[in-house]
Amino acid sequence: MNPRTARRDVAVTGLGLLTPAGIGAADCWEALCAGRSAAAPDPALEDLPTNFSCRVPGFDPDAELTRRTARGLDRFAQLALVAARDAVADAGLDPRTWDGARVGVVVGNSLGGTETWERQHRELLENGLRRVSPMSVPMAMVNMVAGAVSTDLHALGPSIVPATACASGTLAIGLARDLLLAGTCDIVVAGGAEAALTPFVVGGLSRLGGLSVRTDSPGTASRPFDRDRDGFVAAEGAGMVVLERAEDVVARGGRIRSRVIGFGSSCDAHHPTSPEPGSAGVERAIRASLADAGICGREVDHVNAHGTSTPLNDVAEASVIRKVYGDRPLVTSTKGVTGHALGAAGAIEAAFTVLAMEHKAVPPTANVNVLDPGIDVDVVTEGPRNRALQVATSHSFGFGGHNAVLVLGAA
Amino acid sequence: MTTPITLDDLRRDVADTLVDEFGVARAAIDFTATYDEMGIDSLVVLELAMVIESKHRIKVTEQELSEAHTLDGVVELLGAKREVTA
Repeated sequence: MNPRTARRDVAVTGLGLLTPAGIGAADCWEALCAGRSAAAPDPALEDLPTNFSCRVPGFDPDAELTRRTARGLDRFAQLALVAARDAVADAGLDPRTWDGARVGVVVGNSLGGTETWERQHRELLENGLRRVSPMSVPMAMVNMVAGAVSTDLHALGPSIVPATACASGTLAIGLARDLLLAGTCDIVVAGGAEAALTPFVVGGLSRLGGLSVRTDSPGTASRPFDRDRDGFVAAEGAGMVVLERAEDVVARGGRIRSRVIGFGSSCDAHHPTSPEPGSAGVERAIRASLADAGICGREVDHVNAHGTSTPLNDVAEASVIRKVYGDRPLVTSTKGVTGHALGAAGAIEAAFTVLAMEHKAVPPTANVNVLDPGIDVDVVTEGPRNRALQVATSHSFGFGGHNAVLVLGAA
Repeated sequence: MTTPITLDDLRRDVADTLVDEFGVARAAIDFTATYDEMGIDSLVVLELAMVIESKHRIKVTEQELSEAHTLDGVVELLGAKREVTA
């Protein structure tokens, strides 16, 4: 372990992944390495200009959670709950025996229970108030994702939902790290969840001009860093991690999968949806994360980029990567496979970055046929690239100008 | 004119709805127990009423449901509002 990072030694001990690439780390990693895009026509979106999305394959909430639990939760909370349980089990922890008062939950989310809002609003307009479920509001509230996880896991400490759009999941892990360093918690279950593949949300993103319209070939629509990219593909999913102070993990004989060694965040304070020209806000977040970790950009081996596949983001982000890290890091955007899971994306990608460090390999960015000539960084394409990874970063940027960056270290 | 329905039909509907929609174990359903004793909270009772209302076109208020106390009470309430055959 780098002695400079000792004072900030927080370990990742468990992962829970329900993503369009698959359920569980093994399925996800296989799909990422194969560069297999999850984008497919989506019947719920059939009348929209972008009628495809990336959904979590084979997710059956009734089977995973029982009908009784599942029916009281919107899909974003269902995904979070299963991912949280998986992460805790992966960490070798048991909520029946832990001191719940020392356990925190931080779950990033962007849009709340959109399926519930839309379904119940339709009931109100078409059939009147008496057909509106009394559970409508509690199911749709953004905070309910953390409330549900805390309740299920008997986690009695802080329970928080940071909402910074597509940076939410990354911010959640950063805040969780701080809860451990401050001594507020001994265990934090953290991550992000999103399930907003509804006509209103996806239609609204279409109106904004953010989505790919490659309707003749959804599987090649999410193509970060490619010359012919035309927008992102909306996705759903949940990624959760368990964080503990490394010394506590050693004391209990647990397994350290990775370390959170730095975190930084910033706001562009520029525009609701457009990246700031010159990307000063993004650069501030990256540099803050590196300063927090006590390292310089050239020490970073791998960057899991925000890499949305929008024309504006990818070229601007690559330019900042080149400026801050130089030409050394292997850069990938796993959104080529998963699409963009909004508030869950950063947490899912942090977990993917842990997997990359464990496998000593960076998965390729899917669908890069011709690298954008304006991009001058080492983007991994075609197949996974093997390299021992000591330090990696994961970038997330969101509407509102929110930027968040995690620095992860090898176990 | 509504279709004749028996209290047993309503009782079966309530039980099926609790099992199918709310995941309550069939063996755990006790029509004489209070909502609390059954582990059913007031929101579940409200939602249960919504399902029954929609199926049988019966209107019940929250107040009436809360005063019913037990599933037997709910069935009687629904039955009283609906033409039932003994």
